Amino acid sequence: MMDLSEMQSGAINELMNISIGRAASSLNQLVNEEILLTAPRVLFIKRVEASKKINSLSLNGSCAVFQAFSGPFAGDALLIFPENKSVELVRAIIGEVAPLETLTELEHDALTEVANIVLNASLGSLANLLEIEISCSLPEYVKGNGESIFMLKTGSRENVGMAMFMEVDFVLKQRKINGYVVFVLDVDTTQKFLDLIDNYVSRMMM
Amino acid sequence: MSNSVLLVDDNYLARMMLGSIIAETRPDWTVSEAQNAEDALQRIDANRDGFDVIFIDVGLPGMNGLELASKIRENGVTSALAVVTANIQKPVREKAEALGAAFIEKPLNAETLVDFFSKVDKLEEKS
Repeated sequence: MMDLSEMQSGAINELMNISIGRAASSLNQLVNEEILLTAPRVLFIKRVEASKKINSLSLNGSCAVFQAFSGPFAGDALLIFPENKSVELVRAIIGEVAPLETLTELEHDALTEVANIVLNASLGSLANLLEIEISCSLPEYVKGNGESIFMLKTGSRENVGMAMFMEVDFVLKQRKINGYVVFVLDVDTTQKFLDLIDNYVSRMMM
Repeated sequence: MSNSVLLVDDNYLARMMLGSIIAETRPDWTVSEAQNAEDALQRIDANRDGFDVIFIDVGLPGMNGLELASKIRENGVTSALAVVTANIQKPVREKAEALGAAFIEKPLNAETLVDFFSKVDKLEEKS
């Protein structure tokens, strides 16, 4: 189990706030309504626990868009929405006038594009702050429960190790749509992530 | 001869959103679409008059958007290029700018596009 210093913990929360804030700003432009964010939660847990936690975020079935990322540190980024709200989200993007048929047809592309924008804005902002470059896979849309999504998408990797789990909830206030942004860092690159956090803190203190 | 623009993005909704902003800001322009780099290169090759502007998403399946922009320049195509992406990382912006492409962040809005088109207009006036 890795222990974070108070400084590291504060810096990670601050970086997540900035990065997710950037993503929320992008989402706000896309749907033209206020996005509320919770404070980020950062945990060191087993990967199998991470998948259970993702499942607990999606009790009634969910759709998720998944992107793997790699660079000095690597892991998985997920944007999770309750399945019963996905059409409402599409409506928020393309407007009220579109018929339900069209909304359903566009659901897959709309959620993929939302995730592309939200996950890239947050990962890109984080990379810029840490002065590194991160590569992302193309977004993949998956339906199911959170646990199956995570296990399915990371099935080729070791699922018994540890992971750094970072989660932020966001809410589209008027439409009462809530979702989650989750980053799961592979533990073998977590130390590198923490080194970059230490470097960031040093730069900020100069 | 009317002006023309090519949108390269694998996401239908992304093409639709960009297309609708272009229809608002440049209603007389002809819009063509491609879903990937190979499709885009074929359309560029087939368009004898040349596209005035090519918008390219970075996250394309197969050849990515930056590789496509590079290939377009290698082929001697002089159309104005705009890399349109949610990937806001500094190195991505630098690579796009090194190819002489504008870097436009997603989500797009009409003001950004108006600004971009006015720069394209100025360049065309000079040449």
